[in-house]
Amino acid sequence: MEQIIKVCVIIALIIILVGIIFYLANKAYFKFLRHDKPTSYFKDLKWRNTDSILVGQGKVFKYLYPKKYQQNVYMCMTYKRSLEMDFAALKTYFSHVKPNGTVKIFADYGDYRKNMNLRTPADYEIVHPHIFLALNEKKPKRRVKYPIVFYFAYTWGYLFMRAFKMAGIYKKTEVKPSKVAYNSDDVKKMGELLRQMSEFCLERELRPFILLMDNKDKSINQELAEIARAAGDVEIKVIYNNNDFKTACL
Amino acid sequence: MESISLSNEIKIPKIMLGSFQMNKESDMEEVVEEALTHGVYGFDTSPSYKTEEMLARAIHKSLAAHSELKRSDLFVDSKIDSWQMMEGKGDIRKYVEEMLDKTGLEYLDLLLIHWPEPNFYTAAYKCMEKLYSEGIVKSIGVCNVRQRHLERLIKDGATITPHVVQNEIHPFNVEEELVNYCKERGIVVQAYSPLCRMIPEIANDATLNILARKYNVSVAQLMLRFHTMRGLVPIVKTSSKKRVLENTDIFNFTIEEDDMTTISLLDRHFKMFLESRCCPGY
Repeated sequence: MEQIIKVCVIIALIIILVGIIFYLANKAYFKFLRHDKPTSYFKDLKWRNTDSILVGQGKVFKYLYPKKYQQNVYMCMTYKRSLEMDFAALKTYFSHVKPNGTVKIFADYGDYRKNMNLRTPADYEIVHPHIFLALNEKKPKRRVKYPIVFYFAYTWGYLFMRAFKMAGIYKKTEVKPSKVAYNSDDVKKMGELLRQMSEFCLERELRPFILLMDNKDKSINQELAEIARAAGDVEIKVIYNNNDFKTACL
Repeated sequence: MESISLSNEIKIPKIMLGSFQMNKESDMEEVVEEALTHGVYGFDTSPSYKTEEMLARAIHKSLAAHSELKRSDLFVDSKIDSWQMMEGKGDIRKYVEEMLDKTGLEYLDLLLIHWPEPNFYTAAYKCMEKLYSEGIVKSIGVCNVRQRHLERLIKDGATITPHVVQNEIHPFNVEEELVNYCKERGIVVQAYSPLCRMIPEIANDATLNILARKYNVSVAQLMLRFHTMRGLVPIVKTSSKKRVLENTDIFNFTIEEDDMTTISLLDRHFKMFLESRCCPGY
């Protein structure tokens, strides 16, 4: 009997502990998210007329520690995001950049294919709701309120990534070229998105600067660059190593 | 108070009162009463401010107390919000009719598009053109726009040039290019947040304080006069009865040309309301 009670107490304690960890992780997620993007821009007047804005996908984020290179950057990159949502983030945040400022779009073909049509709780929180209305989508309130339950892996990934960034840790090894195979349709779709993003910037008197992650199949980046350049005066660079990141962020 | 003629000969007061973030009905009543007493007849509202009905009630009450005044002496403007454009897919007629029903204002002197929502901006404007031709609104305009938004209207087949453009304008964001563009086309520019909400950077700005002392006025009065001398219509908001008089008693001094230039040079493209945060894809 005593043994059973002991086991029950231990199970109860484990459940409570797990509950507390889940609760704190959920809280921490929102705290970091709000730290990243102050929702009340109206009270926080600091982020006005920045030199540039960074948008981009997950893989790149691992290598990047922009604060180390430059202070006056509005950071819109986050852990895991589809290129489509990058465009949505750009639409929501570009006014933070000064006139003729630079929009740096980090893009990776492998990530593009992996995260296609992905919606994360961060997207629902920081991208303007009207974008989702225009996409005919609604914010899944309950799912977004408890990301630790409904987006378990994503939330932990985000939290660890945030913690590393806060500690000043970022991936210093050489950038590994993506090995994702060429798919004509996907390259065209991705190139088209990059072209639209560039056109969007040029129309608003901002300078688009596309940074493509190295790929084993060199023709992919070449084709992407060709499609994107149709927008007009677009600067495009392929990232081969950490040094390229450094110079790109300066 | 003196007024300016719009391109369709409708008169707009040289200074107007805003109602953004006015929460108390009693404040609204006092401010409207004080405004009418001192000859300020222009009022600005919007569905998103949630002050349309409150303002209308205060206007009706004050008009009843001022028998010498009629509705036609006043100039009331309101706006169409992005969610209305999205919900109605550009057909915004029902929102205007509902607003007029609720407020009992009979007509609007000016109807503006609050934000140029990318998908339904032109459609909403064309609907406003119809309301204008039917006399439901006396003039039409757009808020928070840049030159490219005005050019887009023409490109997309709008037949009436907006009578008014309302943008955030203050010494830290003088919008020289847009103001000149509008002047050339006979568009009157309203300046909202004309005092930049008196943030410390404005209130403590050395240049503004020196000039205010020179003309023996407050920094707020100096800024408002700066706008009116540029031909703009400032929309100033206050919930204090005392400030109504201070903010509108600005026509008894003239800023010298050099000082106007000095104030213009304070421009640093600083905006309180970041366009893309309010209207994605702006």
